[in-house]
Amino acid sequence: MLTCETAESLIAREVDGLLRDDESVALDAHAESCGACRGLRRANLDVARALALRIDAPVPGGFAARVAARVHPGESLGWMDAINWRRWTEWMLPVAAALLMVAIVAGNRSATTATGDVEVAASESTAAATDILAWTGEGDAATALSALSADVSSEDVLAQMLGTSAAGTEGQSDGR
Amino acid sequence: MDPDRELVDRARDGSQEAFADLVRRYQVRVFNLARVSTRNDADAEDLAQEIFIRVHRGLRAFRGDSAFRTWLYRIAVNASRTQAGRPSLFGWFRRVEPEEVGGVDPLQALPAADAVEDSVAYREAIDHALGRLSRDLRMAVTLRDIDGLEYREIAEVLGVPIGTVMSRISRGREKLRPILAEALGWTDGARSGRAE
Repeated sequence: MLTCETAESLIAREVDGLLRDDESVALDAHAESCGACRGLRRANLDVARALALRIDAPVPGGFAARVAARVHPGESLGWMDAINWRRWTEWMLPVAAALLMVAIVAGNRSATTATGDVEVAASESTAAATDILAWTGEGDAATALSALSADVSSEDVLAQMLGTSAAGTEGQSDGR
Repeated sequence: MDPDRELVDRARDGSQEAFADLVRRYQVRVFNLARVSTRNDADAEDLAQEIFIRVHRGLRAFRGDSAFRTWLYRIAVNASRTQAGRPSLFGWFRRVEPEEVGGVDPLQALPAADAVEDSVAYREAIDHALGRLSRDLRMAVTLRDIDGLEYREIAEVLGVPIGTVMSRISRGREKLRPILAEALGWTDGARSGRAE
């Protein structure tokens, strides 16, 4: 009769089909009366089959070249192979996180500044229109502002308010 | 006759090509052994490189008493032991226990049905389960069931009697079963072979 210790060794070998007939018969007899070894036997069969289905992880590209470069330092290595991309990516994580934080902070600050700039630009535009009105003594502020907001040149605005065309003004100046 | 003998001799005589051939011949095995130990690709590559560098350094001292493959695995196992205690940033991210990530266990997250064996998730689950074993049990099971080494060779690699190897493999598989059973949906009575 087998001991559980001997049965343990036989069970491991049984998975690989390495048992002799007499060993197999002895193991069957032992397992019949020993629940622990029955469980062990089933576990061994199940797990060995499951592990046999594991597909190997692929080796990272350029691995052999990187090993060669380390054991033969003088050997030239293409820059693509020289970089351990996984490791590089790993160490870039904190840098990327820091850059992201900087970008977020900078984005918030520039948004605030941009809002201020728009307000300043608007007040400057209004002041410019008021100056034009004061200079010409006619027209209305709405016309001046709409002209400014439509991205029209200052010469066009003046021409519109004086009731003349820019071309005409040019013609007059050319005639002089 | 050691099938690697000729390449080993040439590499020992300084042939870079012969050594590169040895690397290419064993890189998948070494990388995957390293991966089971480190449980992430970045650390596995570092470890695998370290193993081959040790092999290169030791070639002159290699007398051929054992097969090159056995000698290589012995170096790999020793390097894995050394490397095991070294933390890495990537490893730190990856070694987060399932309970700490909202209870999502990678073993639970396996895709179901027939596609499971072909999937990366399946490999991740196997490696994760192996990672739960003690180093002695994990190495014995990995060398046998992942790398396909003979018992005698495993005994030589690990430096233990063959009976100890059988015992470790048997107990390692026993500990793995409930973990894999839960992940792969095995029924209590018998293994279904595939997730239901």
